Amino acid sequence: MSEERRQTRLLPFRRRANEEGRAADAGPEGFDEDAELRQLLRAWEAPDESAAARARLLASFRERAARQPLWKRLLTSSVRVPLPVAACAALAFALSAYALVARGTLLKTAETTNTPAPVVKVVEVPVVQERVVERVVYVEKKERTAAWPATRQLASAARSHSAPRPASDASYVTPVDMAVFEPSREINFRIVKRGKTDDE
Amino acid sequence: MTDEILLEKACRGDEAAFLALYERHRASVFRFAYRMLGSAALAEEVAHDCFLSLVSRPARFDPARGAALRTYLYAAARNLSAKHFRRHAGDVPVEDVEDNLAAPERDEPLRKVLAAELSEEVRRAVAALPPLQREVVVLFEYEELSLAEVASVVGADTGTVKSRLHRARQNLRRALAPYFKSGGGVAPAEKVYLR
Repeated sequence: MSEERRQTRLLPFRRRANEEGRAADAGPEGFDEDAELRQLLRAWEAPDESAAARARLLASFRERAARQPLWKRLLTSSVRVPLPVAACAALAFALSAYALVARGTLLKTAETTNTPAPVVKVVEVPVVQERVVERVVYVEKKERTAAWPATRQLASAARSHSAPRPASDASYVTPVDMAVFEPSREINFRIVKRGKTDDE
Repeated sequence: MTDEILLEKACRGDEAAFLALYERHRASVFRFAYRMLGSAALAEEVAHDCFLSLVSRPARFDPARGAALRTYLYAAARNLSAKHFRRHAGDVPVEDVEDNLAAPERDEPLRKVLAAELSEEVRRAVAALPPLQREVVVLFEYEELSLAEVASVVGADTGTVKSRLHRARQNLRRALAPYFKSGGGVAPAEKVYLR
């Protein structure tokens, strides 16, 4: 037996149960006793629902059933936009993109120019103390002696003229031209103590 | 097939199940809304919203709480009617009154005219009741719900429903007094009180 048929067959029993329930409701207060009022109230009958209402409800139900979920509608929906509006929007988008890119470049250059503050690091290094070193260089000076033969002196003078002296000798040997050399007629001896100058 | 199974199928988009549910309960929902609002057009609107919300938000109906779908639909229609009351407070539906008065001219003119007059008087008397009294009268007297079911629909306890029903009956007896065969519209005790 189908469920619907079973429900239909059960209907009289349900009605009876309902009536029994209402009889129980009647109770001592007697809510069901006012039969006259009830009969009078039945004079006002409700009209039937129009056929258009059923069709309208069915259309609403179909529309609801055909409606996709919100996320699907968001993904697949499209909007018609007039061409001038679309062009303006595209232009505005391009300009804003350009402005963003330019701003990004400026920021990047600013970042590069702004070198980070130098980090001060104290490092102890050994200090080289300077000191003045005096060195006394004694140069061996060849004393001229009268005992030297004149030929040897001349030879040495000629050698000094003819051959160039080495650079090391040039520092302390004065070239002397002996061509106009003439021995002094008188000699004054003056004895200077060591450590004192001639003027003292 | 039970209401719950039909509702489940209707929520999945089964049109036949939705129609079966609608055919099963439309008359009672429409009648209740009509008697609450006094307008067939408004009652159709309420019934439409009622059934559509049933499939849109099926979670609101919980069979585990013991309420039948019919009771749930009455409660939904009651809420929607209350919304209409608030929105169209003071509006008097005229088209239905004209329909009722136009009917008697076909045959048996006198009887029809009298019936139409009585119907109109009853309609006025019920419409004149405060909404809380009107709904218990409609549910108990017209829709033949038990006191417990009425209490479930209006969201009050049985004692409150009894009290409202009692006051509503007194008001109706007073308003329809000339139509009672027993002669007096009000109970004897009340007659004494009125004197």
